[in-house]
Amino acid sequence: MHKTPDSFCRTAVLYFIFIWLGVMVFAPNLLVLLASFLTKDAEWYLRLPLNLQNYVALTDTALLEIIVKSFSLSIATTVFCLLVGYPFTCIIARISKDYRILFLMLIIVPFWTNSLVRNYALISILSKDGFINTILLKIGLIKSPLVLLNTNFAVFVGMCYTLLPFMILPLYAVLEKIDRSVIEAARDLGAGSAEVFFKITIPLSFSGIVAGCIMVFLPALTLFYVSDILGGADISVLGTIIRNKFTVDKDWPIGAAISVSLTVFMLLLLKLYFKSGNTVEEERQLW
Amino acid sequence: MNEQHSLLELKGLTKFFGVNKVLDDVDLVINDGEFLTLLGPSGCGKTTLLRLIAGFERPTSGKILMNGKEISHLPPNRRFVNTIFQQYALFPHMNVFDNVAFGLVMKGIEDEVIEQEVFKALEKVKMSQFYARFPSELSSGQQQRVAMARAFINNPKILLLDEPLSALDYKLRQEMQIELKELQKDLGLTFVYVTHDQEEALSMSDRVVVLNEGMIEQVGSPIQIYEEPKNMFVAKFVGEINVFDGMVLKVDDSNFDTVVEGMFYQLRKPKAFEVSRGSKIKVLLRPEDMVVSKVNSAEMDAPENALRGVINHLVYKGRTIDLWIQTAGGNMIMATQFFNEDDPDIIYAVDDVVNVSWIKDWEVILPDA
Repeated sequence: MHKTPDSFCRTAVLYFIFIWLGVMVFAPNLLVLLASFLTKDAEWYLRLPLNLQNYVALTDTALLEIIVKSFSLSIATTVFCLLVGYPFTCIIARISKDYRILFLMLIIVPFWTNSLVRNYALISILSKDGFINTILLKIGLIKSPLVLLNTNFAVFVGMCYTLLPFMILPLYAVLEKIDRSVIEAARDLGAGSAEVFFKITIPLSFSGIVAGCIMVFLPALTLFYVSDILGGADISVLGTIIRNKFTVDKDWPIGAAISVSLTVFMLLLLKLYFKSGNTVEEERQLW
Repeated sequence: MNEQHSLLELKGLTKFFGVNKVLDDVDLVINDGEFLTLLGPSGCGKTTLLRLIAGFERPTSGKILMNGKEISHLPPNRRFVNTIFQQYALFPHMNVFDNVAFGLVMKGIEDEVIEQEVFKALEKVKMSQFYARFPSELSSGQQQRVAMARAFINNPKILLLDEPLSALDYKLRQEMQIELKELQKDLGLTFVYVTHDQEEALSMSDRVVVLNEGMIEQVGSPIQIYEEPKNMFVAKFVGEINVFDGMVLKVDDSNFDTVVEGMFYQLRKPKAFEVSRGSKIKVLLRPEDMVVSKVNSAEMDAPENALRGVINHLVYKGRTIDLWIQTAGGNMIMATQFFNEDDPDIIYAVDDVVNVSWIKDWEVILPDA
C-alpha cells in the first residue's frame, strides 16, 4: 500500500506511544507482579522459589494497623474535600463567567508549583513559631504554642491542601453542565432549595462526586512525601510503607505484594467509577 | 368562554437587566380560563414577562396580583403557576412516572393517590405506556407531552408555556397546536403562551398581546390583531401587508379624499385618530384583500381606483397564487389570489400587465409617524 508522509508520521507516533507504554508501564508492572511472588534475597533482592508468603505477610498486625490508619486518613481527606469542594464548586458553576475563570485560576495556578514545595510552605504555617501559633498567641487565645507539626492533623491538612483541586475539577465538569432550566423546573413544581439540592443537583452530579472521591482517596493513600514532610517519622501512609520496603528494608517481595494489592483495589474502584459514569451518561444523552 | 373574570393582573411591570430595560411599564389583565399569547420578535421581553409571572425573576418595579393578592415577592414553588419550558427541562435522571409525579411528591401527597393521578395525567397526553422510560429514550414530541403532564398535574391556576413547540418539526407542530388547544379546553386552564410565530398565535389564542422592545403594542383577539392593527409595528409583524403612503386632501363627515400613488381615492374616516387636511397617512392592505385583473391590450387607461402594475414574481401555492406586482409608482405590492374555476384570468405570468385595486373599506388607515 502506498503511504503518504502523513500516514507514516501517524504510524510512527502510534508505535512510539505503544513502545513507550510497554517499556515504561506494562513491563514494570509485570515485574512488580512477578516480584510479589518471589522470595527475598539479601544480595540479589529477589530469588526463587515462587510462593504466596508475601501476601500472607500482609495480614501482619503491625502492617494492618498502618493500613487502617492510612485508610482512615484517606477517608477523612476525601470527606473533607467533598464537603468543602462541593459547595464551592456549586458556587463557581453558577456565578458569572468572568468570576468563574478567576476562581478556577485561583485553584489551578498553585498547581503549577511543585506540591513538594507547597507542602514545605505548610511547615512555616504549622510550626511552633509559625503563622497560626503566632496569630493565636498575639490575640491571646493560647498561652503556649500548640503542637501542630508532626501530627496526624498536619498530614490531614497537607493532604487536603494538595488534593482539593482533584475534587473540585471533576465536580466542576458535571455541575457546570446541569441545565439551569431543570433546576427552575424543580422549583416551579414546588421544590424548595433543599429539595432541589438533594433530588436534582446531587443525583445529576453523582458521576462527578464519584470521580472526585476516587481522585482524592487513592492519592491520599500513597502520597508519602506529605506524611514525610508534615508528619515526621511516626506517621506513615501506605505509600511510606511501600517505599520503605523497597529502599530501607530491601524487602522487594513484600513491597511488591502491597503495591499489587493496592493496584487491584484501585482497579476495582475505577471500575465502580466507570459504571456510575456510564449510567449517568445514558441519562444525559438528551442533553 | 365563561364570564370574564380577571385572574392575574400585571401593574406597571418594569424589569432591568443591568442597564438594559427589558420590560417597560407593562399593564395587563389575564382572564380566568383564557388562552393568552405573548407575541413578539426575539428580545421583545415576552420570555422575561413569563419568567416574572413564574417567579424566576423579580420585577424591578411594579406588581403582580393573583385574584387581587400580590404575589411578586413569592418564590416559584409558592405560586399556583406551572411552566412548560422551551426545551422541556425534564429531569434526566428520573423516568416518565417520576417526572410527572414530582410536583405531587413535593406536596407530600400519599403514594396511591400520586399513582392514580400520574396515570390519569399520562392518559390525557397518551403517554401511559411509556411511564417507565427515561427522557433520553423519548422523541421530542413525547418529551413535550410528558412536560405538559408534569405541569398540569399540579392543577395550577395558570399554565405558562415558553415557546413549547419551537423544537418540533412542522407537521408535529401543527398536530401539537391542536392538541394543546384541546387540552386547554378540556382542563379549563388559563394558558399564557409565549411565541414568536404569529401563525401559531393567531390560530390558538383567545387573545394576543403583541410586544415590542418591552412594551405592549396591542392587545386583542386574533381577528382584531390581524384586521385592525393599531400601529405599523403590529401591522408588519403579524402577517404580510402592503403599505401605501397617502396625503389627505379633503375631509368630510364620514369620508376623506386622499391621493395614493397619484390616484384619487375616497376612503372612510378611521375611528382611532383624527385625519386633517394636508396630513400624511399610511394605507395598509393585506395581500388577500387585493383585487387583481389582467389588462386587455385594447384597454388603454387603468379604471378608476386601480393602480397599473407589472407582475414581477409569482408563487403557485395550490389553493392560492401569490403575486408580487411592481407598480408604476415604484411600490412592490403583494397580492394573494384565490382560484376561481370560472375565471379565465387566473392564469398569470411574469411580466403580465395588471390592474390592482382592493375591496373597498377593507383598508386600514394609520397616521404617518
